Amino acid sequence: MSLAVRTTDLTKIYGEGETEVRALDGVSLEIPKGEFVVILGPSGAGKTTLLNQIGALEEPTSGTTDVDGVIVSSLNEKERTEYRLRTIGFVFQFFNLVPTLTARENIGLIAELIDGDAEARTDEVLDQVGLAERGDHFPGQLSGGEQQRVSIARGLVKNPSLVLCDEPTGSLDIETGIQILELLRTVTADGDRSVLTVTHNAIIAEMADRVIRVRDGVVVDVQVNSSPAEPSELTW
Amino acid sequence: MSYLATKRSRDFRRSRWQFIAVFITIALGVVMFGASYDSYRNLNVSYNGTYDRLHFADMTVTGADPGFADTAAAVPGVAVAEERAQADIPFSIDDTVLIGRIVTMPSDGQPEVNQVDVTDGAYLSPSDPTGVLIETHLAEQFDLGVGDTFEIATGAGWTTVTVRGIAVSPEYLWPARSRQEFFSLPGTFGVAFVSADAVAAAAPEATANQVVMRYDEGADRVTVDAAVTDAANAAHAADIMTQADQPSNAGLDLDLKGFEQMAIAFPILFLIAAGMAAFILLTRIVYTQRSQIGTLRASGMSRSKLTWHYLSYGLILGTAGAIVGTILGIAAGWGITGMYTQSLGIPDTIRELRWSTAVVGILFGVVTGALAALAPALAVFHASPAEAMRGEVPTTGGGHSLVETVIPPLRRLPVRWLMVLRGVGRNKLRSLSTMLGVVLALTLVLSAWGMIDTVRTLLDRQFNEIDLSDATALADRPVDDDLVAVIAGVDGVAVAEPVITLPATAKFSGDSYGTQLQAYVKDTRVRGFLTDDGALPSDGILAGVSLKDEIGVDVGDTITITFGTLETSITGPIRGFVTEPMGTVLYMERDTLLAALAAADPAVPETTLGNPTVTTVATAFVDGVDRDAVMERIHDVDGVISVVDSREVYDLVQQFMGLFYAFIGIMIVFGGAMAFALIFNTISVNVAERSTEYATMRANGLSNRRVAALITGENVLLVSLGIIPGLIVGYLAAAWMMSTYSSDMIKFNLEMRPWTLVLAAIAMIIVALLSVIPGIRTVRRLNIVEVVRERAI
Ligand SMILES: Nc1ncnc2c1ncn2[C@@H]1O[C@H](COP(=O)(O)OP(=O)(O)OP(=O)(O)O)[C@@H](O)[C@H]1O
Ligand SMILES: [Mg+2]
Repeated sequence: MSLAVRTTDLTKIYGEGETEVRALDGVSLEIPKGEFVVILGPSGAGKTTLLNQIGALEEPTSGTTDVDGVIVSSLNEKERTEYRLRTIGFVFQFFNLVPTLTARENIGLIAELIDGDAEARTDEVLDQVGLAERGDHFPGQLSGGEQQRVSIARGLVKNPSLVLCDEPTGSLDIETGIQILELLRTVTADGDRSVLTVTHNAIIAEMADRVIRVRDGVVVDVQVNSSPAEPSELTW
Repeated sequence: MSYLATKRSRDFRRSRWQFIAVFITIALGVVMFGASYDSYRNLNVSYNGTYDRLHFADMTVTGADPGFADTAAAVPGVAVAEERAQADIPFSIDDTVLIGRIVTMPSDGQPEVNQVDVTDGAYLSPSDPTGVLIETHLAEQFDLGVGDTFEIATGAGWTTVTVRGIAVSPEYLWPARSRQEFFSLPGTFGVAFVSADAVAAAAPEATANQVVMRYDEGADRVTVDAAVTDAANAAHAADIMTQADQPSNAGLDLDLKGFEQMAIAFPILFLIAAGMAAFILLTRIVYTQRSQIGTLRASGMSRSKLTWHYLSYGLILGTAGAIVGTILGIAAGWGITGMYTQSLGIPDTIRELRWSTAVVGILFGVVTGALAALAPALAVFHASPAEAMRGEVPTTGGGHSLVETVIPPLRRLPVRWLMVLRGVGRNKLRSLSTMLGVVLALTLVLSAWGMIDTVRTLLDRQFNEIDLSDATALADRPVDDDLVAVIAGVDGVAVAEPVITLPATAKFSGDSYGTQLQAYVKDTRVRGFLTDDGALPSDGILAGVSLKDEIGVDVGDTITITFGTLETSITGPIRGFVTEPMGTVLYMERDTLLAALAAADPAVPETTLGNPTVTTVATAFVDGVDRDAVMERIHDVDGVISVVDSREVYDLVQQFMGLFYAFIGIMIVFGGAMAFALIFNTISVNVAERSTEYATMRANGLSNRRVAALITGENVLLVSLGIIPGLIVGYLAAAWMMSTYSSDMIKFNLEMRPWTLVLAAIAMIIVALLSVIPGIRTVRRLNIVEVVRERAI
């Protein structure tokens, strides 16, 4: 079984002296390919920080992160941009869509960055997230769930091997949230791509292949589900 | 088109009014540069074209010893030295007698130096001894055409001459009689070119009294000027005038200076304002888009691509403004050149397409745009992609405003007014830029307005405090007590005094300055002297203050005065200096001067002082009389040949000011536009940034009017804060500008009326109120639901 992510003794310290915060304190993790993984933990536990490390948005204070055999933590600025472009798809709690671009254009903006037929792939992911009909609408004309689906489509359009989601359902109602989770779940179906989702909602964990619990910058528990629940079975 | 480009064009559209405001400001700055610089250069080239073509003299020496022409021609660097005669004598045209000037020319062909363009009729001819050429301003003023006749006063009385042709002369493009009578206008002064033999009869004392020179091409002007000056001094010259000092040329130069200044100072003001406005706008755009920027970076878009994307906003804006501005500017420059040469009657209009102007203009715009976008783009470059994960963060912490801290009771104001106070400090850079906009606009407006105020004040001073006369009578004989007494007795005349006006040269330790000596009776009532006691000293000379610099004299020094028309000289001590707006003349008491002349070697008796322009009778009228009728009656006095109305000059100068008013109008409009653009942009950005707040306030039941009052209050407060430094900077800028115009001919010390400052401040407040309107409309149209939703995007 090949690994999607491996972190070794990963530490991230913000600030210094009195204001020092150990957001991550020696995190060592192994995440196999093709899994739908949930990172659980209370607010301030270090979930977003961990995701930022895997996504190469920030440099660690110490330790290493290895994604698909690439030592992310040792990449330079240019290589990291390239790495994010080829390997990672991001989905945020705040959808961060460009308000002056339509749904299709928001996705196309990223699709254009990689080789191949950007238009075809844009249509494909729009269809995948069920928004084929709404592609020409501006963000302001879409519901929260629809906007989040556009942002997922944007994350998927590059066909990344690892999708990182930071509370993707955080600003959505239950039903829409479940739809989004179902959508993310399907991404892992072919066994090649993995999805890492941060949440502090324990119930979501029931549908995960693997649940990682974080507290105070330390991994306190890793639980593997042999038979994850279907999102529709979840009760909130 | 790439999606980023689509995004950019939609960003442009979204904030189109702000972008248009910046675009217009950049374009205006570049237009001002192009128009003023090109017209400055074109006019320079046009003058010089005329000067070269007509062989305008490089040097004019008057009253040197006979044979000086040969001496001058031998000076290294002098190509040609030519003799001619020049004399100021009365002309009588229709019923008017004016001070005329005759200048001799060979009758068989144009002279080597100071040729003329004959625009109508024909050049002088040996077969037509009474045929003269008249200078074009004189022809225009009296509507004289070829074949018309008028009279000139010669030694033998009035002689009739015929207009043979109308001429444009490089010496009289600006028709000034002398540096002292810079504003001598058509109607009071005119020039005629006559054949050399004719002058012998007309003014025997003026035979071949002048040598005009052209220098070798490429000669070093300074060296040759100095050499000729030495030679002329050695030959006892009465007046030595370089091309730079020549009144017409100096006048045109002074005029051009205005263009030069506009070509540099004003465009810079505009471009600073435009750059600031663009900076504010782009910073705001980058700020609101920072989470999108983070997301794009997180998604693998390269840093440089995004940085370039935002930099391109400024570059596009700058380039567009610059191109439009350059095209309009060059076109305007051409138009101005044509209008100018036409209105001044410059015979040559040379317009050159200068690529340098276009290149510099475009560079101005592009650099402004690029600099404005640089800081925001760098912020993008250094933005952390991790920010995208953090969502919205409040930008600045809250806190009490400075005034609240200084005046604690203010804290008890209603909260919404505290908001106004705190709003000023909320985004310091933006508040500063609003203030800067006000400062720049006030600088522009005040430097134009200051010029008007100064000229008006100085004119008032010249005609109400210095020249107190109402009219001056010229007689056909040397003025004597009898004539003065008769004129004093004319109904409506309150004062009549004899006045002596002599062309004179003041000399002190090797330096000399050509000017005029005016002599008035003791306790004169037709002239005011701006000294401490306002009196004319009885035992010395009062001089214009520029004489200090011109020949380095001070109070107590004894100067020598020579006279262009009299073969004698006198000496006397300087008793004081007067600061007068126009000219730098010498004053003496009449009796003192007459005594000095009588004691001089050779002695000059009063009766031989010269032609009617030397001894005149100045009069002041009884208040409220019919001026025209009084002048009519003076004219009827036996022996009076002409009455010159002092007020007419004043009125003509006032008319002349019409041009200035047009100029200031344009400046105020431009300054207002600039202030508007900057204030409008800052306010729009402020309102956009706070739309959530305003929407929330509206949702909580605050009325539209109250929100509008808040926005207005905050911005009027900001503008008011800018007004104080703006008035100070504007005043200083105006003073500096005026000082660059000052010379011995015209003294411009800034005289700004307090009202001007008040009006300028009020104008700024009005601009502030106008610029708030679009912001208020935005808030009124704010869709509360949409704003709240956009936050989640
Ligand atoms: N830039 C920063 N500077 C200082 N401290 C930071 C910074 N970013 C995060 N932290 C701190 O690091 C710790 C972990 O933050 P992180 O955002 O990873 O938490 P989280 O688990 O995602 O919380 P939440 O569920 O509330 O999003 C927190 O205590 C936070 O305050
Ligand atoms: Mg988080």
